[in-house]
Amino acid sequence: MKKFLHRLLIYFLFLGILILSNFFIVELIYPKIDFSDIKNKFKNINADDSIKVFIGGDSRAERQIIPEILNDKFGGVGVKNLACGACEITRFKNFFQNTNFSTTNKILILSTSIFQVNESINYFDPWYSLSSFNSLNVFQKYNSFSFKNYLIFSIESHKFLVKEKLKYFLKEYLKYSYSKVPYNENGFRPVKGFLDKKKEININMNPLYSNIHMEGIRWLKFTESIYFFSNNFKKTYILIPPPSKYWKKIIIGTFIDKLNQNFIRKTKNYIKSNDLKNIVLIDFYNDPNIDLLDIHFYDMQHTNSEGAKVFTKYLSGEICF
Amino acid sequence: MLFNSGEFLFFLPLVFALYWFVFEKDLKYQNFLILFSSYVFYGWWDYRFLSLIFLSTIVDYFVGLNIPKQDSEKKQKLLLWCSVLFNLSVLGFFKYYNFFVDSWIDLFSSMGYEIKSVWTLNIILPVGISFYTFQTMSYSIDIYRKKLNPTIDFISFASFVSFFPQLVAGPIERATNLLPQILKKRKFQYEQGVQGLRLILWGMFKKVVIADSLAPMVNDIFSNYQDFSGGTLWLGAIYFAFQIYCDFSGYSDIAIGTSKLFGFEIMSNFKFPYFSRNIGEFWRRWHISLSTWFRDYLYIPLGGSKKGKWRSLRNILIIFLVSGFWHGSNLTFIFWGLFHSILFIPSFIFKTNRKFVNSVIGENALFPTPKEFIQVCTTLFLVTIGWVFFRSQTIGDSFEYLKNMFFEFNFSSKFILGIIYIIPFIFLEFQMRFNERLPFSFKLFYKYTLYIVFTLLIVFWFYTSKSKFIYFQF
Repeated sequence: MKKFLHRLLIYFLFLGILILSNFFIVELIYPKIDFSDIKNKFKNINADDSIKVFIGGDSRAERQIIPEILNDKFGGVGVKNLACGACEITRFKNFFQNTNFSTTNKILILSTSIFQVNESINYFDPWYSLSSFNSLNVFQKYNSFSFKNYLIFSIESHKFLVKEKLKYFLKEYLKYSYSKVPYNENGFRPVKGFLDKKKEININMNPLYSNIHMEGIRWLKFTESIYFFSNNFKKTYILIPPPSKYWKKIIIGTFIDKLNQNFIRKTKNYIKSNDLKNIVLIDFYNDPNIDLLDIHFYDMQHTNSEGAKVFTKYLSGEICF
Repeated sequence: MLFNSGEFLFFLPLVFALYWFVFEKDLKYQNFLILFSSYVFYGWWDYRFLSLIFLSTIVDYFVGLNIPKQDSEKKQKLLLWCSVLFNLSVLGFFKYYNFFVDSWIDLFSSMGYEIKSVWTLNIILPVGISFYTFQTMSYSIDIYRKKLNPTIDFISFASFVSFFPQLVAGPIERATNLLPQILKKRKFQYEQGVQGLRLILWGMFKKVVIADSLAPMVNDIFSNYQDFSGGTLWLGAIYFAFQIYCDFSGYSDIAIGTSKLFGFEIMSNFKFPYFSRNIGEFWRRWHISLSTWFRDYLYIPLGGSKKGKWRSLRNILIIFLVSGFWHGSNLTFIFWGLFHSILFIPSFIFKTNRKFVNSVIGENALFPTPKEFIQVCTTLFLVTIGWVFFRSQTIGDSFEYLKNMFFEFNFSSKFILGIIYIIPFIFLEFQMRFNERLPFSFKLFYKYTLYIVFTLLIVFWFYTSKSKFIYFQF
């Protein structure tokens, strides 16, 4: 018995050390992730109280909503685009919380998508590395993703660490041409180019959509953020941005379409069940009237600068300040 | 309590520590601890149904004690029937009552009489009822057949009935094997303990990593089979074949391993059934405790194969139909049994069913021979077809599923990833094929690497694996 217990103890001790060391290695990576874009945008607005409307959210808000058009339409209310690529509304909320900026009389326009609540991590993309992770404590971080995903995540993180972290990350995974396109003084990032329709698409293998799981910490943080905006802003418009017609045609009726619909339904239900009257969800994903053609997109999901004009004009008809 | 639950992680070491360190010196206390922890284990799911186990224990305890005391065969038989009828009534009520009521209503409806279903009850199926009722019945039958002497030690008998490692999903243990072990003083043996842990690790791996990873794909394919091409439906059927095998044999391995930790040796339930070269061999390797139970307590009393060909064929048919029906009150299970009897009967007629009794594939070689490979693939193909009946919701669904399997052979790439789980698993099983009770029989380096890798995989997969074992419902 002594021998049995002794060996068992050594075995589990070894395993414990292995798991913990892995955990700390992963932990060490996080503070080094670049938040400069959003930091700079927030730095610029701190001193400026003339702005009444903020645009927040992810790349689609960053590249599709032109503050100048809204400004002109609503008589110079002062609009700033603070959205950044892969910035989910939870992170956006965290930045607002840290600014001591008075927001109670301000209006917010946010873009969102299923990637902002997806717990699944099977692809090293910015959605989870730059996610709400930093707002969690150590235990929440460990529990936020399932262990299975955490394993994959940690493997990817080690890869990331070995291959010079951010340098590799930008070079290999973020082949976005627009990453070098600067944003203008109001925060809008105009991207040129057209959608490449020849590209072969296998939606079942699309890593961004596989193993989507919307029932975890990220959904919780997402809903907490909506609640925060409801309490701290005069009005918040949450946009489900429109995809290109080409993409919509490919995914219609598939599991991706069902996932999107499910996300929209869940978000609507949350707003309704919590009676958040100053939160308005605008579903452009299912809007048949929006006049965006495929030539207005530079990829499946993002409009180019011309498309951004069309979209912002259409958006201005849906909102009022 | 599930083996793959956080509670069990605390439960097992606690019972182990009490068993070997606190109650080690007194057999009575050790047996009482087994009984108490078994009731806690079962009551964790629903304490109300402990009364059923207790009742079943009481009935068979007294029947067992009184059978040898009777002076005539007739009275002994009468007592035995009391036990059998009681156990089958409990099983019948909880498991089949609604099935029979609904079947009658359907029958009358088909004849044009509309009957309102006022008799249908909202009955909860007690977990493991099919397992422990069969176990207690075997005790009384064995005493009647004079294969076993009754025990007067109620605690030991109750521990036998409710022995927690195999209480809810088998193996269906025989009193002739387990009861003498309960009545005898146990001593911790290092080798037995290590083998126990290896089996627990292997069983957990099969359940948590393989079965639970295949489950969502299987559920998706079987729920929406109309939307998928034949290739994907084949994947669904194959994945289910491995899901149910890993799920059920995983449970059995954990049960055998846990029993070993407490100094008990319980029977094997699976012996690499997917390496079977014909359907006869498959049934000697699949759910052994149930098939041998039916053989000993139903097939042989019916006359077995000793009373002519036609009677033998009838008996085989009965065994397979009852075996299917044992799994649940759904026609799909009966069809599954019927399908297997159709596969088995030709091999019985041509006397090939007893072929490969004492051999395994690739016996003295690194790989199976081409002939063996073809035989194994053919058997697996037929068994997989059978699983479609087993897994489908209705008979109509299963035939529709089977029909669609033979059209459009493209695969939905969403489901291809399941292969990643199956291929390494088959490879590992093949390496271990000589002894189902000795997994990880590799060289030291490979063995320890596998220990570490498997434990880590279980730890990481454990968090998402919350599903029950499939056989809990039977």
